[in-house]
Amino acid sequence: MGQKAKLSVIAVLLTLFICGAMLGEHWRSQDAVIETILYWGSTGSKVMEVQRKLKQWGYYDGPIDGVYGAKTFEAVKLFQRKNGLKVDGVVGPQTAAAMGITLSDTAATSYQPSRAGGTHSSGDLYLLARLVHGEARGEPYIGKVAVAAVVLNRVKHPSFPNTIAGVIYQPGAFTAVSDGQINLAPDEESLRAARDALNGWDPSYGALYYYNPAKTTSGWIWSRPVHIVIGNHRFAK
Amino acid sequence: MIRWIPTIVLAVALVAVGVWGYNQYLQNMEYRNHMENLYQKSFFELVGQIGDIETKLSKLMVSGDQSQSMVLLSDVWRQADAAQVNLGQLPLGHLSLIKTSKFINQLADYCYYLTKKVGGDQTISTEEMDNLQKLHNSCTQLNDELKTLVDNINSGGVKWGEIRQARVKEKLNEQVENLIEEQFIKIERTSIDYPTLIYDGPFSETLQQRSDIRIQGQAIDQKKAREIAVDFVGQDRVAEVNDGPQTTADIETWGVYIKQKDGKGPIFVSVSKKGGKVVNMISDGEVKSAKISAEEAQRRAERFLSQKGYKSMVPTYSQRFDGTMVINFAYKQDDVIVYPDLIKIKISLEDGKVVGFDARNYLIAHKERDIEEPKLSLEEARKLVNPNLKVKSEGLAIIPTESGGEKLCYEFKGEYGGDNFIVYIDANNGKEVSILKIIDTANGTLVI
Repeated sequence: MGQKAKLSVIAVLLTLFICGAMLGEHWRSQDAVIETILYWGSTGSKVMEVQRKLKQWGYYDGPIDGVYGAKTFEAVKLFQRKNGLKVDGVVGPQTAAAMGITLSDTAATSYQPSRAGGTHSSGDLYLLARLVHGEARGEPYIGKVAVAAVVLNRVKHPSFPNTIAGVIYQPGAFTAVSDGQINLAPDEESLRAARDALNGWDPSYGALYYYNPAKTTSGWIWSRPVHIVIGNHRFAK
Repeated sequence: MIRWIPTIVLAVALVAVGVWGYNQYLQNMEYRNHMENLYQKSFFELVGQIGDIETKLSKLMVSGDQSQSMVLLSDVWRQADAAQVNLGQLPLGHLSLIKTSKFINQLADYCYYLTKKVGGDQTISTEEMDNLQKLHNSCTQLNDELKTLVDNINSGGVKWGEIRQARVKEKLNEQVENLIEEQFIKIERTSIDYPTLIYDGPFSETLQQRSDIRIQGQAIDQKKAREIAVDFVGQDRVAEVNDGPQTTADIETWGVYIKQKDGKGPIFVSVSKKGGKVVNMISDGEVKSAKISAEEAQRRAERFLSQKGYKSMVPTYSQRFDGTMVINFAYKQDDVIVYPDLIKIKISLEDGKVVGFDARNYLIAHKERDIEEPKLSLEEARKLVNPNLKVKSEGLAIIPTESGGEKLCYEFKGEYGGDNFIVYIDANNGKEVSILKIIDTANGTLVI
């Protein structure tokens, strides 16, 4: 008896285990199927595609929101009836084929992550550093940061171009650009100053202009309120 | 025979110089034509674009369909953007273009704002329609002026290159000035009324005229500022203290130069004249070799902040550059990260000293806020995030809007295909407000 009971317990357990495994397998394959069948409650871009098609043909008049609700359900049934398909309100392979859409994810391209150390920002950094080197050589460090900050303040201001290169190469805006000094290779200090400015340090306190009072010929610039005087430069708004 | 030799040599030399000079002349002409063509291209493109914008804006007046309006608006936005680029390339003094440039930029920005609005299924209000009408009228005037200018240029045969040359020589030819530069200055100063626009965009007038600076407290003198600066940097680092430049901008500050004991470049500290707060501190953070770790740098920055009396600050993002590390801190009120209250600290990785500090944003924006209970729950907001994003952390945050306001959002930090993103969902209406991408992942660390 004891032997028999033990055997039957083992048999029951084994059956349960096999059933469980099969059930698990079944569920997993169900999961896989779920991804390729759309029904009441489904959401996502595929549902939107179905809604768009149905709306185009006049079966559906609800919003294209990617949610398979009552309206979509009714529209699908109508579509199936008109096209001689099994009327179940579920978008399976046949209904999908009739609509001319594919249900499986056919996205063949995979996303390529950006290359680390984005070259875009370092290009701007180098250009800014070259301007700083050309315009503010021999100025104290904060004077260099301030010159770079003026460029960035202009980028943010509506009266000036909207890119760093646009501001720097605006004709007549910077003497270092006009006389070609901007093409000199920047030193380390200019690079650090440009980086500090890009990181948000602004010793010019929002200035849009600066000038060297010993060299400037523009009368207009003298009328601007001066924010701060650093080295030989007056920074103004 | 011998007396002919110098003559022959000279003659040969003369011919050689002549050939050289002629080549130079040809080359010069080639460059000049090239420049002239570029200027002409920019100018005529600009004229074409302004004309096109004018047409599109007038079509907007009679368009009765949302999607049609959106196409027109985004077209104006695109054309105005291109017009701005062309305007920036004309060889006119940038000072004679300030208003026109501003007009075109605001026009682009305003249409972008309206495109977003219409795209979000909202309608254009009567007030906004009126603004569009004003913008259209200014555009018509500008268009007329530009056409006159085109006629003048065509009949007068003035070349753009000549303006540039006159500019370089700094003796402006009267006639040239009258024709183009003067005309532009005239357009700028007299003929056109450009409207003042207030809306939710970066070039909105409200943002350009911000003056509500919040620093309060007693006025201090330069001597007191020096004491505050020395105390801030730390007495042990100071070799000598000197007065530096003061500012009279939106925040008025005293400047203090501090010469360091270790012989490195001077530190510049600016202290607000009201309240005696350190607004920023800048020094040339030259570092020969990095010795301390990023974690250690962050600990030092945190310690520094709490020593200076800034409580409840959390690190949000840090980036490493050569031998220094810049760490961003934001204020945390209850469980909400308040991004407008931002402080940046730069740490030298050689000795762990603070070499840079910037609290301007914090000092301008900081206050205790009444944070209302959001209408959406975290779970509801999470469902609105694109399932592609593998969310690693989430929470409430207040973020600054483009026009200088603030918005309560749910923040989702996550990863997609190896890139890091932050997605913001409006905590009250569930709209996706903004997506940030961490671009420099090699050197930057996002605090999750």
